[in-house]
Amino acid sequence: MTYHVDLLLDDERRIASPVNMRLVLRVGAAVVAVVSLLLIVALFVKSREAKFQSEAAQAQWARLEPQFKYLTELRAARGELRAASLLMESFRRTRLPLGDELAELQAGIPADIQLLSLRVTHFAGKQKTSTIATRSYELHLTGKLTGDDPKESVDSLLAYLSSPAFSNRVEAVSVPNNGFRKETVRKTPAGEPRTVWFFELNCRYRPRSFE
Amino acid sequence: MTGVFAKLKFGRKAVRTDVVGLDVGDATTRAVRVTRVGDALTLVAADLLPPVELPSDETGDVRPLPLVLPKTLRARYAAVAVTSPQACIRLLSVPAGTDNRANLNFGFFMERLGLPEGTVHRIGYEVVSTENRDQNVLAVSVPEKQTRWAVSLLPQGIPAPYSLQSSGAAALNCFARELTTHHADVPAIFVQVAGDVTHVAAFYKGRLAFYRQCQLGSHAIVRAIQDKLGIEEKLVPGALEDDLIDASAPIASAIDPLLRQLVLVREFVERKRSCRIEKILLSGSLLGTKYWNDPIVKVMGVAPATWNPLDTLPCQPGALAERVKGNESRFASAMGAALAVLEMES
Repeated sequence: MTYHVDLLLDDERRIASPVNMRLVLRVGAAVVAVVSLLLIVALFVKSREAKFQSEAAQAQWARLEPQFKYLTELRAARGELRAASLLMESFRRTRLPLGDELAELQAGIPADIQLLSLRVTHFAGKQKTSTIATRSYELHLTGKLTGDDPKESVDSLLAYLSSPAFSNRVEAVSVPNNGFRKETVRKTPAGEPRTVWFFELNCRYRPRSFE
Repeated sequence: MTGVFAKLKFGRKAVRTDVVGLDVGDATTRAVRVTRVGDALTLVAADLLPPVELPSDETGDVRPLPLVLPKTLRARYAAVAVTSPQACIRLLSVPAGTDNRANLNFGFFMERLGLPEGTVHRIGYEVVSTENRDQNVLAVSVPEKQTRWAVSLLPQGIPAPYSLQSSGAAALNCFARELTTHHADVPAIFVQVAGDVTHVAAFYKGRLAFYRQCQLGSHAIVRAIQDKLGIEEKLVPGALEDDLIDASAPIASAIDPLLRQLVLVREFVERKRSCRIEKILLSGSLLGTKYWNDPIVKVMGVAPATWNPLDTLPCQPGALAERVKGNESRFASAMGAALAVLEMES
Protein backbone atom coordinates (compact mmCIF):
# COMPACT_ATOMS: atom_id res chain seq x y z
CA MET A 1 0.00 0.00 0.00
CA THR A 2 1.42 3.36 -0.98
CA TYR A 3 0.16 6.74 0.08
CA HIS A 4 0.99 8.46 -3.16
CA VAL A 5 -1.14 11.53 -3.66
CA ASP A 6 0.52 12.97 -6.73
CA LEU A 7 -0.17 16.64 -7.37
CA LEU A 8 2.01 16.89 -10.47
CA LEU A 9 0.12 17.89 -13.61
CA ASP A 10 0.69 16.05 -16.87
CA ASP A 11 2.08 19.13 -18.57
CA GLU A 12 4.63 19.49 -15.76
CA ARG A 13 6.10 16.06 -16.44
CA ARG A 14 9.03 15.90 -18.79
CA ILE A 15 11.48 13.37 -20.05
CA ALA A 16 14.56 13.00 -17.90
CA SER A 17 17.31 13.93 -20.29
CA PRO A 18 20.70 15.41 -19.48
CA VAL A 19 20.35 17.45 -22.65
CA ASN A 20 18.38 20.62 -22.17
CA MET A 21 15.94 20.45 -25.08
CA ARG A 22 15.01 24.09 -24.68
CA LEU A 23 18.67 25.06 -24.98
CA VAL A 24 19.13 22.72 -27.94
CA LEU A 25 16.10 24.27 -29.64
CA ARG A 26 17.36 27.76 -28.93
CA VAL A 27 20.86 27.00 -30.21
CA GLY A 28 19.36 25.19 -33.22
CA ALA A 29 17.13 28.16 -33.99
CA ALA A 30 20.09 30.52 -33.66
CA VAL A 31 22.22 28.33 -35.97
CA VAL A 32 19.41 28.16 -38.54
CA ALA A 33 18.99 31.93 -38.33
CA VAL A 34 22.73 32.55 -38.76
CA VAL A 35 23.00 30.06 -41.64
CA SER A 36 19.95 31.61 -43.29
CA LEU A 37 21.46 35.07 -42.88
CA LEU A 38 24.76 33.89 -44.35
CA LEU A 39 22.91 32.31 -47.27
CA ILE A 40 20.97 35.50 -47.89
CA VAL A 41 24.19 37.55 -47.78
CA ALA A 42 25.93 35.07 -50.10
CA LEU A 43 22.98 35.15 -52.52
CA PHE A 44 22.93 38.95 -52.42
CA VAL A 45 26.67 39.14 -53.13
CA LYS A 46 26.31 36.57 -55.94
CA SER A 47 23.39 38.46 -57.47
CA ARG A 48 25.34 41.72 -57.35
CA GLU A 49 28.30 40.01 -58.97
CA ALA A 50 26.06 38.48 -61.64
CA LYS A 51 24.49 41.89 -62.27
CA PHE A 52 27.91 43.48 -62.76
CA GLN A 53 28.98 40.67 -65.06
CA SER A 54 25.75 41.00 -67.02
CA GLU A 55 26.26 44.76 -67.44
CA ALA A 56 29.88 44.24 -68.54
CA ALA A 57 28.80 41.55 -70.99
CA GLN A 58 26.06 43.80 -72.40
CA ALA A 59 28.57 46.63 -72.88
CA GLN A 60 30.99 44.25 -74.56
CA TRP A 61 28.20 42.92 -76.77
CA ALA A 62 27.20 46.44 -77.78
CA ARG A 63 30.81 47.06 -78.79
CA LEU A 64 31.26 43.77 -80.65
CA GLU A 65 27.82 43.32 -82.21
CA PRO A 66 28.59 45.14 -85.56
CA GLN A 67 31.79 43.14 -85.93
CA PHE A 68 29.90 39.96 -85.09
CA LYS A 69 27.25 40.71 -87.70
CA TYR A 70 29.89 41.55 -90.31
CA LEU A 71 31.75 38.35 -89.44
CA THR A 72 28.54 36.34 -89.69
CA GLU A 73 27.85 37.78 -93.14
CA LEU A 74 31.42 37.03 -94.22
CA ARG A 75 31.09 33.47 -92.97
CA ALA A 76 27.85 33.04 -94.89
CA ALA A 77 29.45 34.44 -98.08
CA ARG A 78 32.47 32.23 -97.59
CA GLY A 79 30.20 29.23 -97.25
CA GLU A 80 28.36 30.05 -100.44
CA LEU A 81 31.60 30.59 -102.32
CA ARG A 82 33.07 27.40 -100.99
CA ALA A 83 29.97 25.48 -102.07
CA ALA A 84 30.16 27.00 -105.54
CA SER A 85 33.86 26.26 -105.72
CA LEU A 86 33.27 22.66 -104.74
CA LEU A 87 30.53 22.40 -107.34
CA MET A 88 32.80 23.77 -110.02
CA GLU A 89 35.63 21.54 -108.94
CA SER A 90 33.31 18.54 -109.12
CA PHE A 91 32.19 19.61 -112.55
CA ARG A 92 35.81 20.07 -113.60
CA ARG A 93 36.67 16.59 -112.42
CA THR A 94 33.92 15.08 -114.59
CA ARG A 95 35.35 16.70 -117.77
CA LEU A 96 37.87 14.81 -119.79
CA PRO A 97 40.78 17.09 -120.81
CA LEU A 98 40.54 16.29 -124.50
CA GLY A 99 43.52 18.42 -125.52
CA ASP A 100 45.90 16.50 -123.31
CA GLU A 101 44.33 13.18 -124.32
CA LEU A 102 44.72 13.91 -128.03
CA ALA A 103 48.29 15.10 -127.53
CA GLU A 104 49.20 11.87 -125.71
CA LEU A 105 47.32 9.80 -128.28
CA GLN A 106 49.20 11.48 -131.08
CA ALA A 107 52.53 10.68 -129.42
CA GLY A 108 51.70 6.97 -129.25
CA ILE A 109 50.18 6.30 -132.70
CA PRO A 110 52.61 4.42 -134.96
CA ALA A 111 53.76 6.26 -138.04
CA ASP A 112 52.16 3.81 -140.54
CA ILE A 113 48.69 4.40 -139.17
CA GLN A 114 46.53 7.02 -140.78
CA LEU A 115 43.60 8.10 -138.62
CA LEU A 116 40.39 8.43 -140.50
CA SER A 117 38.06 9.51 -137.69
CA LEU A 118 38.02 10.18 -133.99
CA ARG A 119 34.80 10.51 -132.11
CA VAL A 120 34.35 11.15 -128.43
CA THR A 121 30.96 10.39 -126.87
CA HIS A 122 29.89 10.86 -123.28
CA PHE A 123 26.82 9.98 -121.23
CA ALA A 124 25.60 10.58 -117.69
CA GLY A 125 25.09 7.81 -115.17
CA LYS A 126 25.23 6.95 -111.50
CA GLN A 127 27.63 5.06 -109.33
CA LYS A 128 26.65 1.50 -108.64
CA THR A 129 26.74 1.82 -104.86
CA SER A 130 25.38 5.33 -104.45
CA THR A 131 23.29 8.00 -106.05
CA ILE A 132 26.26 10.20 -106.97
CA ALA A 133 26.06 11.29 -110.60
CA THR A 134 28.86 10.27 -112.98
CA ARG A 135 29.93 11.12 -116.51
CA SER A 136 31.46 8.43 -118.77
CA TYR A 137 33.49 8.94 -121.97
CA GLU A 138 34.20 6.66 -124.94
CA LEU A 139 36.69 7.23 -127.69
CA HIS A 140 36.05 5.66 -131.17
CA LEU A 141 38.97 5.57 -133.54
CA THR A 142 39.02 4.44 -137.16
CA GLY A 143 42.11 4.33 -139.28
CA LYS A 144 43.88 2.59 -142.13
CA LEU A 145 47.32 1.33 -142.71
CA THR A 146 49.34 -0.51 -145.23
CA GLY A 147 52.41 -2.50 -144.99
CA ASP A 148 53.55 -5.99 -144.50
CA ASP A 149 52.52 -6.40 -140.87
CA PRO A 150 49.62 -4.08 -140.10
CA LYS A 151 48.44 -6.23 -137.18
CA GLU A 152 51.57 -5.39 -135.24
CA SER A 153 50.96 -1.67 -135.53
CA VAL A 154 47.34 -2.01 -134.31
CA ASP A 155 48.50 -4.22 -131.39
CA SER A 156 51.14 -1.64 -130.64
CA LEU A 157 48.44 1.06 -130.47
CA LEU A 158 46.31 -1.16 -128.22
CA ALA A 159 49.29 -1.80 -125.95
CA TYR A 160 50.01 1.93 -125.82
CA LEU A 161 46.43 2.71 -124.73
CA SER A 162 46.64 -0.03 -122.09
CA SER A 163 49.98 1.23 -120.78
CA PRO A 164 50.32 2.84 -117.30
CA ALA A 165 50.15 6.27 -118.90
CA PHE A 166 46.45 5.61 -119.63
CA SER A 167 45.49 2.84 -117.23
CA ASN A 168 44.45 5.24 -114.46
CA ARG A 169 41.88 6.80 -116.77
CA VAL A 170 41.07 4.10 -119.32
CA GLU A 171 38.93 1.21 -118.23
CA ALA A 172 38.97 -0.94 -121.37
CA VAL A 173 40.41 -0.83 -124.90
CA SER A 174 39.09 -3.20 -127.55
CA VAL A 175 38.76 -3.84 -131.25
CA PRO A 176 35.13 -4.75 -132.06
CA ASN A 177 34.26 -7.79 -134.15
CA ASN A 178 35.12 -7.30 -137.74
CA GLY A 179 36.93 -4.19 -136.67
CA PHE A 180 40.15 -5.14 -138.50
CA ARG A 181 39.67 -5.87 -142.11
CA LYS A 182 41.44 -5.49 -145.42
CA GLU A 183 40.23 -4.02 -148.66
CA THR A 184 41.76 -3.92 -152.11
CA VAL A 185 41.70 -0.47 -153.57
CA ARG A 186 42.86 0.93 -156.89
CA LYS A 187 44.36 4.36 -156.70
CA THR A 188 43.76 5.15 -160.35
CA PRO A 189 41.80 3.27 -162.89
CA ALA A 190 45.06 2.39 -164.59
CA GLY A 191 46.85 1.87 -161.38
CA GLU A 192 47.80 -1.34 -159.82
CA PRO A 193 45.49 -2.54 -157.09
CA ARG A 194 46.74 -2.31 -153.46
CA THR A 195 45.73 -3.94 -150.20
CA VAL A 196 44.73 -1.51 -147.44
CA TRP A 197 43.88 -2.52 -143.84
CA PHE A 198 41.13 -0.71 -141.94
CA PHE A 199 40.61 -0.92 -138.24
CA GLU A 200 38.25 0.35 -135.58
CA LEU A 201 39.10 0.80 -131.92
CA ASN A 202 36.94 1.51 -128.87
CA CYS A 203 38.48 3.03 -125.78
CA ARG A 204 36.18 3.26 -122.74
CA TYR A 205 37.22 5.67 -119.97
CA ARG A 206 36.51 5.20 -116.28
CA PRO A 207 33.33 7.03 -115.07
CA ARG A 208 34.06 10.45 -113.51
CA SER A 209 31.93 11.26 -110.51
CA PHE A 210 30.70 14.65 -109.19
CA GLU A 211 32.20 14.09 -105.72
CA MET B 1 -1.12 -11.71 -29.82
CA THR B 2 -1.75 -9.00 -27.28
CA GLY B 3 -0.30 -11.23 -24.58
CA VAL B 4 2.89 -11.71 -26.56
CA PHE B 5 3.35 -7.97 -26.94
CA ALA B 6 2.55 -7.43 -23.27
CA LYS B 7 5.47 -9.68 -22.37
CA LEU B 8 7.90 -7.80 -24.55
CA LYS B 9 9.90 -5.18 -22.76
CA PHE B 10 9.13 -2.39 -25.23
CA GLY B 11 5.46 -2.98 -24.72
CA ARG B 12 5.70 -2.15 -21.04
CA LYS B 13 5.43 1.18 -19.33
CA ALA B 14 8.81 2.56 -18.37
CA VAL B 15 9.48 1.76 -14.72
CA ARG B 16 11.37 4.14 -12.47
CA THR B 17 14.28 2.45 -10.72
CA ASP B 18 16.32 5.44 -9.65
CA VAL B 19 14.57 8.27 -7.83
CA VAL B 20 15.74 11.14 -5.70
CA GLY B 21 13.31 12.18 -3.00
CA LEU B 22 13.42 15.89 -2.19
CA ASP B 23 11.79 17.56 0.79
CA VAL B 24 11.70 21.29 0.10
CA GLY B 25 10.29 24.33 1.82
CA ASP B 26 11.53 23.79 5.35
CA ALA B 27 14.64 25.07 7.17
CA THR B 28 16.79 22.71 5.09
CA THR B 29 16.31 20.78 1.90
CA ARG B 30 16.50 17.04 2.46
CA ALA B 31 17.47 14.76 -0.38
CA VAL B 32 17.71 10.98 -0.57
CA ARG B 33 18.45 8.86 -3.60
CA VAL B 34 16.92 5.40 -3.69
CA THR B 35 17.42 2.77 -6.36
CA ARG B 36 15.62 -0.46 -6.99
CA VAL B 37 17.16 -3.64 -8.35
CA GLY B 38 14.49 -6.30 -8.67
CA ASP B 39 12.40 -5.95 -5.53
CA ALA B 40 15.27 -4.67 -3.38
CA LEU B 41 15.38 -0.98 -2.56
CA THR B 42 18.68 0.59 -1.54
CA LEU B 43 19.51 3.98 -0.13
CA VAL B 44 22.30 5.26 -2.36
CA ALA B 45 22.83 8.77 -1.03
CA ALA B 46 21.40 11.25 1.44
CA ASP B 47 22.33 14.84 2.06
CA LEU B 48 21.13 18.08 3.60
CA LEU B 49 21.10 20.95 1.12
CA PRO B 50 20.69 24.69 1.64
CA PRO B 51 17.08 25.81 2.14
CA VAL B 52 14.97 27.22 -0.66
CA GLU B 53 12.43 29.72 0.56
CA LEU B 54 8.82 28.67 0.18
CA PRO B 55 6.68 31.43 -1.37
CA SER B 56 3.93 32.66 0.91
CA ASP B 57 0.48 33.88 -0.02
CA GLU B 58 1.68 37.48 -0.05
CA THR B 59 4.62 37.02 -2.40
CA GLY B 60 4.04 37.18 -6.11
CA ASP B 61 4.87 34.45 -8.58
CA VAL B 62 8.33 33.25 -7.58
CA ARG B 63 10.89 31.88 -10.01
CA PRO B 64 13.46 30.21 -7.76
CA LEU B 65 16.99 29.38 -8.81
CA PRO B 66 17.24 25.81 -10.09
CA LEU B 67 18.06 23.31 -7.38
CA VAL B 68 21.63 22.12 -7.85
CA LEU B 69 22.08 18.59 -6.61
CA PRO B 70 25.41 16.91 -5.88
CA LYS B 71 26.37 14.25 -8.40
CA THR B 72 25.60 11.45 -5.96
CA LEU B 73 21.98 12.61 -5.73
CA ARG B 74 21.44 13.13 -9.46
CA ALA B 75 18.92 10.41 -10.27
CA ARG B 76 16.91 10.49 -13.49
CA TYR B 77 13.63 11.32 -11.73
CA ALA B 78 12.68 13.27 -8.64
CA ALA B 79 9.82 12.87 -6.20
CA VAL B 80 9.34 16.29 -4.66
CA ALA B 81 7.66 16.70 -1.28
CA VAL B 82 6.61 20.23 -0.31
CA THR B 83 6.66 21.15 3.37
CA SER B 84 4.07 23.87 3.55
CA PRO B 85 2.16 25.22 6.55
CA GLN B 86 -0.71 25.96 4.15
CA ALA B 87 -0.90 22.36 2.94
CA CYS B 88 -3.94 20.53 4.14
CA ILE B 89 -4.11 16.78 4.64
CA ARG B 90 -7.17 14.85 5.77
CA LEU B 91 -8.11 11.21 5.98
CA LEU B 92 -11.73 11.34 4.92
CA SER B 93 -14.33 8.65 5.29
CA VAL B 94 -16.76 8.69 2.40
CA PRO B 95 -19.51 6.24 1.49
CA ALA B 96 -18.31 3.56 -0.90
CA GLY B 97 -20.27 3.25 -4.11
CA THR B 98 -20.03 3.22 -7.83
CA ASP B 99 -21.00 6.88 -8.20
CA ASN B 100 -18.56 8.14 -5.63
CA ARG B 101 -15.91 9.10 -8.14
CA ALA B 102 -18.31 11.65 -9.54
CA ASN B 103 -18.96 12.94 -6.03
CA LEU B 104 -15.26 13.27 -5.21
CA ASN B 105 -15.00 16.53 -7.06
CA PHE B 106 -13.21 19.78 -6.43
CA GLY B 107 -16.08 21.37 -4.49
CA PHE B 108 -16.36 18.32 -2.23
CA PHE B 109 -12.71 18.49 -1.29
CA MET B 110 -12.73 22.28 -0.90
CA GLU B 111 -15.47 21.86 1.67
CA ARG B 112 -14.07 18.79 3.46
CA LEU B 113 -10.53 20.15 3.59
CA GLY B 114 -11.83 23.44 4.95
CA LEU B 115 -10.16 25.52 2.26
CA PRO B 116 -11.26 29.14 2.33
CA GLU B 117 -13.05 30.61 -0.68
CA GLY B 118 -10.83 32.53 -3.06
CA THR B 119 -7.70 30.49 -2.44
CA VAL B 120 -6.19 28.49 -5.27
CA HIS B 121 -5.09 25.03 -4.22
CA ARG B 122 -4.06 21.95 -6.10
CA ILE B 123 -5.98 19.00 -4.71
CA GLY B 124 -5.29 15.29 -4.98
CA TYR B 125 -6.61 12.20 -3.29
CA GLU B 126 -5.99 8.50 -2.98
CA VAL B 127 -8.39 5.81 -1.78
CA VAL B 128 -6.33 4.06 0.90
CA SER B 129 -8.78 1.46 2.18
CA THR B 130 -12.37 0.33 2.00
CA GLU B 131 -14.17 -0.88 5.10
CA ASN B 132 -17.75 -2.09 5.06
CA ARG B 133 -19.73 0.69 3.38
CA ASP B 134 -17.09 3.35 3.72
CA GLN B 135 -13.84 4.06 2.05
CA ASN B 136 -10.97 6.03 3.50
CA VAL B 137 -9.68 8.72 1.19
CA LEU B 138 -6.44 10.53 1.83
CA ALA B 139 -7.00 14.03 0.49
CA VAL B 140 -4.24 16.56 0.09
CA SER B 141 -4.18 20.18 -0.97
CA VAL B 142 -1.21 22.46 -1.49
CA PRO B 143 -1.39 26.11 -2.59
CA GLU B 144 -1.10 26.27 -6.37
CA LYS B 145 1.66 28.87 -6.14
CA GLN B 146 3.78 26.54 -4.01
CA THR B 147 3.28 23.56 -6.34
CA ARG B 148 4.41 25.62 -9.35
CA TRP B 149 7.35 26.89 -7.31
CA ALA B 150 8.35 23.33 -6.35
CA VAL B 151 8.21 22.13 -9.98
CA SER B 152 10.25 25.11 -11.15
CA LEU B 153 13.09 24.04 -8.84
CA LEU B 154 13.90 21.37 -11.43
CA PRO B 155 13.41 23.24 -14.69
CA GLN B 156 15.65 21.20 -16.99
CA GLY B 157 18.00 18.26 -17.33
CA ILE B 158 18.03 15.61 -14.64
CA PRO B 159 16.39 14.90 -12.35
CA ALA B 160 13.03 15.48 -13.99
CA PRO B 161 10.04 15.94 -11.66
CA TYR B 162 8.02 12.74 -11.64
CA SER B 163 5.91 13.18 -8.54
CA LEU B 164 4.80 16.12 -6.42
CA GLN B 165 3.54 15.38 -2.94
CA SER B 166 2.83 17.10 0.32
CA SER B 167 5.60 16.23 2.77
CA GLY B 168 3.14 15.10 5.44
CA ALA B 169 1.49 12.63 3.07
CA ALA B 170 4.83 11.55 1.63
CA ALA B 171 6.14 10.70 5.11
CA LEU B 172 3.30 8.19 5.50
CA ASN B 173 5.06 5.89 3.02
CA CYS B 174 8.15 5.90 5.17
CA PHE B 175 6.09 5.33 8.33
CA ALA B 176 4.32 2.36 6.79
CA ARG B 177 7.57 0.78 5.66
CA GLU B 178 9.24 1.34 9.03
CA LEU B 179 6.28 -0.20 10.81
CA THR B 180 6.30 -3.27 8.60
CA THR B 181 10.07 -3.67 8.57
CA HIS B 182 10.96 -3.06 12.21
CA HIS B 183 7.80 -3.16 14.34
CA ALA B 184 5.72 -6.08 13.01
CA ASP B 185 2.79 -3.81 12.17
CA VAL B 186 1.84 -3.16 15.80
CA PRO B 187 -0.62 -0.30 16.41
CA ALA B 188 1.57 2.78 16.41
CA ILE B 189 1.50 6.54 16.21
CA PHE B 190 4.03 8.44 14.14
CA VAL B 191 4.78 12.06 14.81
CA GLN B 192 6.53 14.11 12.15
CA VAL B 193 7.52 17.59 13.30
CA ALA B 194 8.19 20.31 10.73
CA GLY B 195 8.90 23.98 11.26
CA ASP B 196 5.30 25.16 11.49
CA VAL B 197 3.25 22.00 11.38
CA THR B 198 3.25 18.54 12.94
CA HIS B 199 1.75 15.46 11.33
CA VAL B 200 0.32 12.72 13.53
CA ALA B 201 -0.52 9.42 11.87
CA ALA B 202 -1.86 6.31 13.55
CA PHE B 203 -1.40 2.93 11.90
CA TYR B 204 -3.35 -0.19 12.66
CA LYS B 205 -2.33 -3.52 11.10
CA GLY B 206 0.04 -1.67 8.81
CA ARG B 207 -2.64 0.63 7.40
CA LEU B 208 -3.31 4.27 8.03
CA ALA B 209 -6.12 4.43 10.56
CA PHE B 210 -6.13 8.08 11.57
CA TYR B 211 -4.39 11.25 10.58
CA ARG B 212 -4.19 14.69 12.13
CA GLN B 213 -2.36 17.86 11.38
CA CYS B 214 -1.34 20.13 14.22
CA GLN B 215 -0.37 23.76 13.54
CA LEU B 216 2.57 23.52 15.85
CA GLY B 217 6.18 22.92 14.93
CA SER B 218 9.76 23.39 15.97
CA HIS B 219 9.46 27.15 15.46
CA ALA B 220 6.84 27.32 18.22
CA ILE B 221 9.14 25.43 20.57
CA VAL B 222 12.03 27.80 19.80
CA ARG B 223 9.80 30.81 20.37
CA ALA B 224 8.57 29.41 23.70
CA ILE B 225 12.14 28.92 24.92
CA GLN B 226 13.13 32.37 23.64
CA ASP B 227 10.24 33.96 25.47
CA LYS B 228 10.92 32.03 28.66
CA LEU B 229 14.71 32.30 28.81
CA GLY B 230 15.39 35.40 26.71
CA ILE B 231 18.09 33.92 24.44
CA GLU B 232 18.63 34.40 20.74
CA GLU B 233 16.86 32.12 18.32
CA LYS B 234 20.03 30.68 16.83
CA LEU B 235 21.33 29.76 20.31
CA VAL B 236 18.27 27.69 21.25
CA PRO B 237 19.22 24.36 19.58
CA GLY B 238 22.73 24.44 21.04
CA ALA B 239 21.44 25.32 24.51
CA LEU B 240 18.95 22.43 24.42
CA GLU B 241 21.61 19.95 23.31
CA ASP B 242 24.21 21.05 25.88
CA ASP B 243 21.94 20.75 28.91
CA LEU B 244 22.80 24.34 29.79
CA ILE B 245 19.19 25.05 30.65
CA ASP B 246 16.19 23.17 31.93
CA ALA B 247 13.68 23.57 29.15
CA SER B 248 11.20 20.98 30.39
CA ALA B 249 8.59 23.51 31.45
CA PRO B 250 8.56 25.69 28.31
CA ILE B 251 8.67 22.64 26.05
CA ALA B 252 5.86 20.89 27.90
CA SER B 253 3.88 24.07 27.60
CA ALA B 254 4.72 24.49 23.92
CA ILE B 255 3.82 20.94 22.92
CA ASP B 256 0.59 20.93 24.85
CA PRO B 257 -1.57 21.27 21.68
CA LEU B 258 0.33 18.33 20.24
CA LEU B 259 -0.26 16.29 23.36
CA ARG B 260 -3.98 16.93 23.06
CA GLN B 261 -3.91 15.76 19.45
CA LEU B 262 -2.02 12.63 20.47
CA VAL B 263 -4.62 11.80 23.09
CA LEU B 264 -7.36 12.37 20.54
CA VAL B 265 -5.69 10.11 18.03
CA ARG B 266 -5.01 7.39 20.57
CA GLU B 267 -8.56 7.40 21.88
CA PHE B 268 -10.06 7.33 18.41
CA VAL B 269 -7.94 4.46 17.22
CA GLU B 270 -8.09 2.41 20.38
CA ARG B 271 -11.85 2.77 20.61
CA LYS B 272 -12.57 2.15 16.98
CA ARG B 273 -10.10 -0.70 16.49
CA SER B 274 -10.26 -2.19 19.94
CA CYS B 275 -6.52 -2.16 20.21
CA ARG B 276 -3.81 -0.52 22.23
CA ILE B 277 -1.20 1.83 20.84
CA GLU B 278 2.17 0.24 21.50
CA LYS B 279 4.60 2.59 19.83
CA ILE B 280 5.01 6.32 19.47
CA LEU B 281 7.76 7.22 17.03
CA LEU B 282 9.04 10.77 16.60
CA SER B 283 10.77 12.21 13.56
CA GLY B 284 11.38 15.55 11.89
CA SER B 285 12.84 18.77 13.26
CA LEU B 286 13.00 17.57 16.82
CA LEU B 287 14.27 20.00 19.41
CA GLY B 288 14.95 18.94 22.98
CA THR B 289 13.31 15.56 22.56
CA LYS B 290 14.58 14.49 25.97
CA TYR B 291 12.06 16.96 27.39
CA TRP B 292 9.24 15.42 25.35
CA ASN B 293 9.45 12.06 27.07
CA ASP B 294 7.79 12.84 30.39
CA PRO B 295 4.83 14.83 29.06
CA ILE B 296 4.10 12.18 26.42
CA VAL B 297 4.40 9.27 28.85
CA LYS B 298 2.15 11.16 31.23
CA VAL B 299 -0.70 11.51 28.75
CA MET B 300 -0.17 8.49 26.51
CA GLY B 301 1.27 5.86 28.82
CA VAL B 302 3.84 4.96 26.16
CA ALA B 303 7.39 6.30 25.96
CA PRO B 304 8.13 7.94 22.61
CA ALA B 305 11.17 6.91 20.58
CA THR B 306 13.02 8.89 17.97
CA TRP B 307 13.46 6.83 14.84
CA ASN B 308 15.76 7.14 11.90
CA PRO B 309 13.96 7.09 8.54
CA LEU B 310 17.25 6.37 6.80
CA ASP B 311 17.39 3.01 8.57
CA THR B 312 14.24 1.94 6.80
CA LEU B 313 16.21 0.78 3.78
CA PRO B 314 19.56 -0.96 3.38
CA CYS B 315 22.16 1.72 2.96
CA GLN B 316 25.17 1.72 0.67
CA PRO B 317 28.51 2.39 2.40
CA GLY B 318 29.32 6.09 2.39
CA ALA B 319 25.81 7.01 1.29
CA LEU B 320 25.24 9.48 4.10
CA ALA B 321 26.94 12.84 3.85
CA GLU B 322 28.72 14.19 6.93
CA ARG B 323 26.01 16.83 7.36
CA VAL B 324 23.34 14.16 7.75
CA LYS B 325 24.72 12.87 11.04
CA GLY B 326 22.54 14.07 13.89
CA ASN B 327 19.77 15.05 11.46
CA GLU B 328 18.70 11.59 10.29
CA SER B 329 15.22 11.93 11.72
CA ARG B 330 14.43 14.77 9.32
CA PHE B 331 14.43 12.55 6.23
CA ALA B 332 11.04 10.83 6.58
CA SER B 333 9.31 12.97 3.95
CA ALA B 334 12.14 12.82 1.40
CA MET B 335 12.41 9.08 1.92
CA GLY B 336 8.65 8.62 1.76
CA ALA B 337 8.36 10.62 -1.47
CA ALA B 338 10.94 8.39 -3.17
CA LEU B 339 9.34 5.23 -1.74
CA ALA B 340 5.91 6.29 -3.00
CA VAL B 341 7.20 6.32 -6.57
CA LEU B 342 9.31 3.19 -6.36
CA GLU B 343 6.74 1.10 -4.48
CA MET B 344 3.90 2.29 -6.70
CA GLU B 345 5.68 0.90 -9.76
CA SER B 346 6.93 -2.32 -8.18
